[in-house]
Amino acid sequence: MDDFISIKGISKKYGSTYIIKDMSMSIPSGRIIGLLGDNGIGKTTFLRLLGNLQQPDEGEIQIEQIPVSQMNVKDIVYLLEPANIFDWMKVKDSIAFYRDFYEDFDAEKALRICREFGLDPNVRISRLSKGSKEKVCLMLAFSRNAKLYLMDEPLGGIDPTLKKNIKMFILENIPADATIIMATHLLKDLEVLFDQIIIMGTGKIIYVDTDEIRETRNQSIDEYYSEVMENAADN
Amino acid sequence: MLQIIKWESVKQFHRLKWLILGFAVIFLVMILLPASWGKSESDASGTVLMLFSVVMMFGILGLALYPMYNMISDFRRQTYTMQRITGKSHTAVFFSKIIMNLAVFLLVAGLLYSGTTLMDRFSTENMHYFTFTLNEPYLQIMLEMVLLYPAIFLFCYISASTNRFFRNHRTIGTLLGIAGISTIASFFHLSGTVYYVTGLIVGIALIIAAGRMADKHFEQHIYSY
Repeated sequence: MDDFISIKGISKKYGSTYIIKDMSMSIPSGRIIGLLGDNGIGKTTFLRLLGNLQQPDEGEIQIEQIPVSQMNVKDIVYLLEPANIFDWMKVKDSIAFYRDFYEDFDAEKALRICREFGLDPNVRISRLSKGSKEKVCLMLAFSRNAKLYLMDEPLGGIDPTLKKNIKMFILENIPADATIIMATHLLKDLEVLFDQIIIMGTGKIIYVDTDEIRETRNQSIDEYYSEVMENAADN
Repeated sequence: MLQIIKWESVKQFHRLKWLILGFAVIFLVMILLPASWGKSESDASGTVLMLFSVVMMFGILGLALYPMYNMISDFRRQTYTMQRITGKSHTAVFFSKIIMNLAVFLLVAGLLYSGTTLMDRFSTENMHYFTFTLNEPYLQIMLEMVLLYPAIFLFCYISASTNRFFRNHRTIGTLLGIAGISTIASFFHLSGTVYYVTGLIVGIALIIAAGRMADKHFEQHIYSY
């Protein structure tokens, strides 16, 4: 399978501190990938680099052999955080905003997801709970038809029922060949989602198939992650 | 571009709606009040009109300064991400903000004219409430308030934000930049058409330069907006 994302020796530093150093990997298409690591380890920066919201100081990221720096930011779905949405908007305004700016946005699908989530399109964003705002963010992202979806801690306030059915929801609402990279701390809830995981902050980047962890090592992803982090701390 | 202007205007409306509503209420009250109000020294009516005048003065002062704030207002808000991921260039957004500045300027002009006209009914030979006269040509004020000053402010802000020495002290960097540009401008004494043409060119050039700088460098340094 051809590499969908090719990361070649990227580094990023803030001031004199490296957040990401000499990172290389290849990611095939059609995968759901968990991005794991402690707070402040560079997960958000990594997602921003993938989304062309920031550029690496060294190295290059290519998506389908095109450098990300030459791509338009809007070609990649970047899941918003609740605080990113204008709170004067009603839910239907946020749908209109996306419809105006993204050619791949499906407004009818957005309204359908609103119904599934129990979101009233006429409610003002500022009146919604954190969990409902996260649902608005998910609705906006998954109403687009793209090849790459980047998500930074998407499900913190979502109710348990939706969390339980999130894999079904995601698979129903993205194209079959789409890739999702999701930074999260909710490993216990979401580990069934991931085909692969990337672990940051252990001194080196670990990129591994979840099947290998489950079948070969006979561990859950959560157990594997804890073991890797403990080993890293010991070293 | 039309979509950017559309959403920029909706955003401005939501920011300014309560101020506009406040002016509308004051104007409505002034229309309903009899002209004899404020002319008697024995009651509190003069105090009420004076209060209206002060509120209008500060409201209009705020609106007059608003175009400068408007240019940089998105950068420190978390909602910046929602606009940024649309992939639209900063330059296009900045020019749409200039169009909004023009709308705000016309609003200010309308409020000044309406306020002066309405308050004039209550004036006596010895007492004038809210009144306004222009000391500079209307076109010059429009050029400066809508384009030139906001463009200078924006350019200095973006320069400071993307400069390694000032990015953590953007206010100081911005003020130093404005002081520098003011000093340079003081060597030139332009007037009439030359001033207007130069002002227009400088304003547009600064907007484009700020837009390019923001596209290329802003997010490189600011990762927690």
